[in-house]
Amino acid sequence: MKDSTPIKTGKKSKKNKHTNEETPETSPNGAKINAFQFMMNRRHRSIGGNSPGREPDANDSETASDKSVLKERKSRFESWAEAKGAAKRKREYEEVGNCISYKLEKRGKRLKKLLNIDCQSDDEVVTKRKKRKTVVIESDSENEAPKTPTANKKWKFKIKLAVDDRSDVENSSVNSQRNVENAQGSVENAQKSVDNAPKSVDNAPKSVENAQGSVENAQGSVENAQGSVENAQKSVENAQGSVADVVIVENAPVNTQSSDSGIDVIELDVDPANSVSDENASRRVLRSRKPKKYDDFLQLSDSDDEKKKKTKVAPVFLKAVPKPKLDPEAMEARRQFLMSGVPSSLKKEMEKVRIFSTEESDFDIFPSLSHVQQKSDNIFWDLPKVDLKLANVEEKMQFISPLVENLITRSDGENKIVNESVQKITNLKKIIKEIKLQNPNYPVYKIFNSLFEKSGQIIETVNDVTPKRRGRKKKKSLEKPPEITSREHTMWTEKYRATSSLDIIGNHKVVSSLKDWLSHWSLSEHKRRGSESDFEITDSDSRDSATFGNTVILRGPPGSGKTSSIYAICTELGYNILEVNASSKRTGKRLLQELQEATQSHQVKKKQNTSKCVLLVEDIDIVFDQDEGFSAALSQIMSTSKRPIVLTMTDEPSAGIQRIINDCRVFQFAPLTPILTVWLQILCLIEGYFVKIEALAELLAFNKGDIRRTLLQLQLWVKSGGHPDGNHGGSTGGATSVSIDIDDDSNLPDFGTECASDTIQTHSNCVPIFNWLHNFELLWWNFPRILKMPDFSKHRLNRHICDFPAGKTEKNKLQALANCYDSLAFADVMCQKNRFEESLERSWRTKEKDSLTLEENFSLPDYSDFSNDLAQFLLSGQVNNFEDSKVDFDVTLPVPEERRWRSKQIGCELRLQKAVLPADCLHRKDVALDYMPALRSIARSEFERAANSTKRGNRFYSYLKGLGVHGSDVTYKSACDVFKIWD
Amino acid sequence: MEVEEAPQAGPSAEPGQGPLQKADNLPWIEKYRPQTFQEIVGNEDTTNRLSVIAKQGNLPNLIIAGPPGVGKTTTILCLARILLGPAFKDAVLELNASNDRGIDVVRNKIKMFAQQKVTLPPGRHKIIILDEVDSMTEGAQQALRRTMEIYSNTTRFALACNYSEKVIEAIQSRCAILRYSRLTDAQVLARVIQVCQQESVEYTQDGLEAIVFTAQGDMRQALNNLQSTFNGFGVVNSTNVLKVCDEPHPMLIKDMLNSCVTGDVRKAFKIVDHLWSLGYAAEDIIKNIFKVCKNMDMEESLKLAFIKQIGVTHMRIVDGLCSLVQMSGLISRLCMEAKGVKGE
Repeated sequence: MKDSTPIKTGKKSKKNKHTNEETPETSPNGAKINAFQFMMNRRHRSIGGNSPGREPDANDSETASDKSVLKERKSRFESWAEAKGAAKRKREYEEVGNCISYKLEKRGKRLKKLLNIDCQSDDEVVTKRKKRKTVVIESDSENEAPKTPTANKKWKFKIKLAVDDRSDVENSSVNSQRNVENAQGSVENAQKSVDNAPKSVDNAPKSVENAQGSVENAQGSVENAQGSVENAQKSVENAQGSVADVVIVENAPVNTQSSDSGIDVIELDVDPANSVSDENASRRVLRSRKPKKYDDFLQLSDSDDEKKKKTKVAPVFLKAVPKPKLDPEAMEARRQFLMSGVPSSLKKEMEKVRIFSTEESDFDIFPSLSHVQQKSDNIFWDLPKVDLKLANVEEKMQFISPLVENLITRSDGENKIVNESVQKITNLKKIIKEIKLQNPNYPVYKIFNSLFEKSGQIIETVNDVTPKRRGRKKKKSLEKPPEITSREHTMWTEKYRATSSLDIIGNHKVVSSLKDWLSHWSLSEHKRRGSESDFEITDSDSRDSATFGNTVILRGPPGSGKTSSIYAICTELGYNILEVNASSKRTGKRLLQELQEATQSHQVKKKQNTSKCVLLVEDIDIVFDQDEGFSAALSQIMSTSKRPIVLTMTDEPSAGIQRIINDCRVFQFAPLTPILTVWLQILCLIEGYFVKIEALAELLAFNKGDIRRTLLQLQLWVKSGGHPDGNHGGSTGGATSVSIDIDDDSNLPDFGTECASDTIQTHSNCVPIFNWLHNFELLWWNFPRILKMPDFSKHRLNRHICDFPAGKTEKNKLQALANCYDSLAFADVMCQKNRFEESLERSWRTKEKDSLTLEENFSLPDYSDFSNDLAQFLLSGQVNNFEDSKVDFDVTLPVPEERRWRSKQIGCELRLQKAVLPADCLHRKDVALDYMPALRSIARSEFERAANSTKRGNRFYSYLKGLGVHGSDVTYKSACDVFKIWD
Repeated sequence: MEVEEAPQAGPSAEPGQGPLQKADNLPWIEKYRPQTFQEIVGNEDTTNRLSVIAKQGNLPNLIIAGPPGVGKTTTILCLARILLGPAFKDAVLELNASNDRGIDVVRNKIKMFAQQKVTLPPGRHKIIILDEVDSMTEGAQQALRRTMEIYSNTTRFALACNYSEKVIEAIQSRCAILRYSRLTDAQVLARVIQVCQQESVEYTQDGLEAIVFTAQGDMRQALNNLQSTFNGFGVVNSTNVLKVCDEPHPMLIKDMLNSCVTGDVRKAFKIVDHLWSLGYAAEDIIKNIFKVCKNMDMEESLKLAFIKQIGVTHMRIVDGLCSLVQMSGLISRLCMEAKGVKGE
């Protein structure tokens, strides 16, 4: 033929070898080896990259030891076959096979005829792939194929080849081609090659070698077809069929080392797992199954043929068009093969997706059936109708319709508060004057001016109205220059931030001493520079700084102005600030890296005052786990620094920080004093609102003197329209609850004022009943007032001295009162269970520790809602019960004087308690009923004696001193006054 | 906006109905989430103030505290939407409890966002929304404190939490705290009816009562229960609602309380035992006992005594003694109260 490629020839020679070894018994070993080699060669030549590479292993594994087994098995098969009348059956099968082959050929011819028309194009396509046009044509021309027995023989021979080829094909892992279905898909091809068979004996391997899909398929299918035919013919070798079947069914890597010996010897090489008995079993099964399969196959191919006849399309195209239905097993096999190279993770993923997609459709967010198992057999769900007399819902149901409308269309009555409210106060002068009159000791005008400047409004005219040092300035119009608008849109805390030490409100003493310290630093720096210029070593200097300390600590609750103060002072003295705060990572290493240089170096350039620098370390008490080594690094920096260092912290020091604190000077910042309410009032005035001073004081007290929070709340509250209250220009009298009815500006009727009443309550609707329940202390102090008892505090005396509500007997009253207090106590216990403060108690404040330490998890189920509800209901119920009327729980905060009085009392109590034996301290009853009264009476008598005599003070109170109580006169006095109203 | 775009789980209300509209896929709580201040139910005073702020701009740092389902997050989102308008996407960083909000995130992500530059009209600032801020660790909150101040020129914070007490003092000090109170039953009811009409839900009066009863002033729960009942049963009546919510049946509890009032321990215990055998937890039972008792029609002082006893039992349950013994103890104490027997 035309093929001259070396591969081709090699192939041919091998094939020849095969033919030569038709007599197997002569040299089985050699045959074996040859077949093996042959296969391996083929493999190396034709395999693509995607072979899973299992089969080689399998091939390799079969060693000489296997061969003997195989031989033995072979012979056993033969003997079995003989025993079972194989010869007869063989003949039968042969006949059938002949018949079939004849049929096939005939059919093939018929087909051929039909296809001849398309032959040319078909061939072209084929040859394009094969690049072997001439051969095909040739074979075509010789197609009027032989029906002779010789031809048949030849054909058989071809079959054998094909079987060989099949094993090749198999091995080259185009595995699924083996499937019968494929064969059907490409029956024309099969036919063609069948026709070609006699002539194109060597075409077959060629084409296989080309491994082009269609042709190869054809080959495979032919083999399969032939294989089954062959099986039919040679029943002895049915084992082969069984193997093939096993391959198909199980998809196991069964390695058919196909017949190297042609007709009657077919070697089986099943997996080691497949024992002989297995084979037997399968054989037996197959024997029964085979005829059927055969029939099936024929039928299938028949039908396929018919289909093809009908469509009359070139077989190459046809093959692609009628997609044969693969049976699921085969599909699965193919899929698995294709997947075999895919990494397992990807497979898993796909599997997941698949599962998901199948499941997804089944689920439904709200299942139509409740999954909760309920006992359906009892009356439980069949209760007639639940007419709950719950709630007042029923009443509400009655007037639902108007109510709904109200709620939906939102009553406008409330909106008007906001909408029409903002009429800015225009006559600032008079109000300022008013304030000044009320607070003669406060530099109202000065503050006003500075605040006014900060507020960024235009100051146009300066009117000296008063002989005071500064005139007040009048805001002219509302339009502002653009550069100031930026100022307008900052938060008030920024807007009114202090810029000099004089601006700082509150804590004047602390601030001034802080300023002294810092200015001393700059002085000493100057001095040192002077000395340096004289080339003197700065011994004195370092001693100086040692005595004075290079570090100070600002300590105080949040919002007391620590950071603001240091910033203000620094801008005043011209220092730069290098700030380290908790918002960035502060490991010891990093801290040292960043700060070492700044703190170590002296200033080189002398004249630049501006580059003086303060190191500000914020919140040193906050050390996270990830900031390891922070405090160590900090103390190292402190010890070596040549710059002033300022540290800030809140009240309670933790153990890790304590060491640092001991070394340096601490400035304690106190919460702001109520005098600042004037400042706040002025500020609000500048913003256009006149707010009553009492309201501001209350707000400040509510925020515990936290100026920052107060400012922010004020901003929110004022900007959203405040709360118009007493207005003496004569407009709305906003009814609010608080007992402030002093009219500050009744003598200024010419402009409308808007006064805030109780800021806390109206502002933000906060302090609903819910809120104060957390604060039982506050409630306790207010309890007499809530119950309208005669009030102990002088300040709140609206004092209608009604003892008890009328209409109750003495006993009932007492009982009700007791109930009230009891429920208060109970509520306290109840909510105490859920106090968060306890569990969360500053867990961040724990010292530095190993990262391995386990944090305790406090996430208990939260019952606080329920307990709060319950406590609230109980309390209000009891109080209402006592009072016979609705009581509103508005809790006023203690005025500062009262607070001072309270703290004095508590302090006194603590002092006196020192006289109590430590062992008895826990017997509270005894302490309260025995010890304390006795001590108080001693104190009282001594106090009287001291007041009446003129002797020296130290001679009195000796009893108490003997008991270990050391106190000042004040202590004793307050001990005497314990039940008196404070004043 | 972010929240609306990602309703976790696009529930197909009626599966197999072909392509549904987007709105149909939303849970009702999202579908009927108020978009403007006018629609927000309850806490009118606060929302009014905030709507004024939203018009003016220059929002101070905020904490909104309140029980669940009263519209805290909704308020903040409204505020941000009105304040920022089209710039909402760029200028809002929303982190809720589902996000990682450890110290690192605060020190990196939040800080980065605060430093980022977004062009906004004057008076408008970037907004960082931290939902459920009380679930942040203390460390993270501490790390936040100075950031809130330093970048206040460009960035404002809006925080929402259930308990403002759980937020550290330093953060509280930097914010104006607004408190939301629980919605009244009437408000919940009104909204539920409105939704029913829009969704053309078939309902009965007692069904709505049951919904309001189970919601206890939590709008989210009310709407969820409503939708669940509707999807599951079609008709909203009390039986269905209670099936969906699976609470101890109020009727039974009411029976129990009534028999306690008459001193019939036996009968009361039978009911509690029945509830117990249905598998309800002690917490559930005690909660519903309280809810029912609160609105029972009985003598006021006796009711208070009852409530107190319920509280005592609840405390024990919180301590971990959630057994039937405690429940029966409660019943016997209630009966003693009713009979006027001095206990203990």
